[in-house]
Amino acid sequence: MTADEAAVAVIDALDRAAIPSMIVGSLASNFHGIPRATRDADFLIQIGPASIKALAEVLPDALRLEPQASFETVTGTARYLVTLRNSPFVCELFVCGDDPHDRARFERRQRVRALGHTVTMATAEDMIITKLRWASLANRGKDRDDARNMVAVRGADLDWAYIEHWCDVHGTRSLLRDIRDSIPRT
Amino acid sequence: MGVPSIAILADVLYREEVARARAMSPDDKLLEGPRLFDRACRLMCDGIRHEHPDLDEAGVRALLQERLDRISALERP
Repeated sequence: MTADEAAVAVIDALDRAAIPSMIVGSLASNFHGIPRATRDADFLIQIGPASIKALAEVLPDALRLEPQASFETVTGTARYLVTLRNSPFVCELFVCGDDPHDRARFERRQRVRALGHTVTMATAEDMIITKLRWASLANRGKDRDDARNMVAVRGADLDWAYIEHWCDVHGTRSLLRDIRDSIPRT
Repeated sequence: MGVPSIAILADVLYREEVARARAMSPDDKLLEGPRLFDRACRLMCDGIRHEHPDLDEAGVRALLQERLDRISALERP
């Protein structure tokens, strides 16, 4: 199984296990911006212990769900890992917790037509807000680049009042301004 | 080529990149990241086999993982 097939298999499995979820991370920022290589597919999920068992049962043999949740180091979010046999590619399932923006972005998730299915995905606005937050918390250049690329590709049709509200909450408004100023005018 | 010319060229290339992204299908945009990663891994494995012709496939995979972990460590602050 290839990495893209693994990502599709996890999308299908979450659907079959009836777990509310949405695509986040670089899969979503690639969708809204400029695609780049990624070694993981990230999902935000609403889940209980019973649904984790249901998910394990519907995953294909090439994928393995680690039974114990671990914690992501920057935000402390619980996550489950799905590993692909003989590959460094992983799928990470982040459990939606009490973080106000996580809850808001989950409520705003959009349905898009892709891969012959209707898949649920974080909106471009919420991906920009999240990437700016990560760029600020973890100081990773690729998060800043992803945010810039989404603004460049989707700029005209974004809900800027919503983005600016959450950037004020997260203290990333000046980073947003720097990124907007850095984009060449068309 | 002076600095201003390089900046102009970078802007032109970026605009082209943005235009290409806008023209991609939803399926390709969603799956391009994992596909690019697979391709990069295949090339890295070819390089490892060239460097270490005696390594078996498990050894190649272990060395690939080690190199990817090193790249991830460099991306952390």
